Amino acid sequence: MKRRLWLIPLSILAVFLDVFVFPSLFASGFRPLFVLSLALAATAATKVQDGMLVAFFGGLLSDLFFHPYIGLSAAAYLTAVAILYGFTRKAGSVRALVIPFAAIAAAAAELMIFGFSLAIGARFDAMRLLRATLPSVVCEALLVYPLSASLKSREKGSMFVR
Amino acid sequence: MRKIWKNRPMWIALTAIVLLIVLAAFTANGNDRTEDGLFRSALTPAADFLHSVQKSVGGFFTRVFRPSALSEENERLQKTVLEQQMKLALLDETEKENARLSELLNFAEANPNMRFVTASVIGRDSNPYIDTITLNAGSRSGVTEKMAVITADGVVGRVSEVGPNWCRVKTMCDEKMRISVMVQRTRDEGMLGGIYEQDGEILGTLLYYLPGKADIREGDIIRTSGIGGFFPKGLYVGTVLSVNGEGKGTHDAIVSTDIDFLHLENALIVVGVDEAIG
Repeated sequence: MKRRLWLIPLSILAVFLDVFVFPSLFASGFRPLFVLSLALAATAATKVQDGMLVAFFGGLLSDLFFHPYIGLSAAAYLTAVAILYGFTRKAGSVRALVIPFAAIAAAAAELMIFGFSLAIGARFDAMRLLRATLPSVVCEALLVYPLSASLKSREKGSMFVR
Repeated sequence: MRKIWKNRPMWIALTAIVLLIVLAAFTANGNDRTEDGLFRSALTPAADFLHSVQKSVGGFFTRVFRPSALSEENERLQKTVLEQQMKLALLDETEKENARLSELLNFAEANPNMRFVTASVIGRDSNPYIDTITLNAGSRSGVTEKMAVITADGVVGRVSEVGPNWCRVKTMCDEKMRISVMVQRTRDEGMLGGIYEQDGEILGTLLYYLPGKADIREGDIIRTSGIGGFFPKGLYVGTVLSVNGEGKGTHDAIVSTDIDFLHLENALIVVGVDEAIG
């Protein structure tokens, strides 16, 4: 339980970065989702429950700032966590695979957000998908490795065997 | 397969995902069913507050990290303001044109015996007294020479030259222009034409050849008499401003017209008069 408590301020910090800092840092729609990276890192480094916790609360908090689709980010992050969890369960404990797995999971989350926007009537913008979403996915996946390493250094009982 | 059924975290995640998607769908824009719903009503103030916080705090970081974004935003806003100003000016112009055309339409409806062609002024004589104007209607619209040109405020002048889609109009200010008119009250007839100016200021047009016995007074209304056949009878011309030459053989008078020749923009060309109704 203690482990999960310190994840909450970390999630809030990630939301702060996602909501206030990253949109100001990067132009042209490129915006890595730090909460998603953290959730995936927590899933990889500690337990899936931790990843789910970060994904749920971090996603919901992000959604409150980026209304009007409250719950969408949380659902997308949870999906990514579930995918990464599924992959790591199947593939076993191969640390080198964390980045590609995280990339697939992050892409699934981004596509889920994109698909939902399309479903409610947003215009399909393939160029935006390539120019903004793809680099964001790569960035999120690359962030997972150092984050998971950092979390792992604090925790034991990772899914990955050292 | 049984493993999946027993995987509690997976089931929790799946349930949460489904519930969250339903929640997102409910809070998505354009979902009319939730527009007045309790959920949205309860959530909107908090979401609005957080959104405003996001905007202001995000704005701070934008100023810190990307000062260029601020100048871009400033440029964009300036462009928007300029666009809006142009739109507003266009709207104002349309409104004024609408008012002018409505006035002409009312006049046309009040004179069902006359057939009109509506035209806009597309050219003006450089002469400050404006004795010739060009309209955007010509022979293709049935306009011929010597047709009367009027507005709701009175007689403008007469068509002097016609092209396929334009015509030149000699206005009442022209020295050589003569219109047969009458005093509405007394039915005394005279001739109107040319401007009367004093110290460089145009006071009105001149009314000549009124009979010596004519009882003409300031404020009398002057209308076309119909003599000569160019102007239909009874068109408003102006009001008497002052009377000269009383006690002599004939009267002269200055008639002020209500038409602002310098700012005239639309006019009606009388292309025909139905005598049966008139």
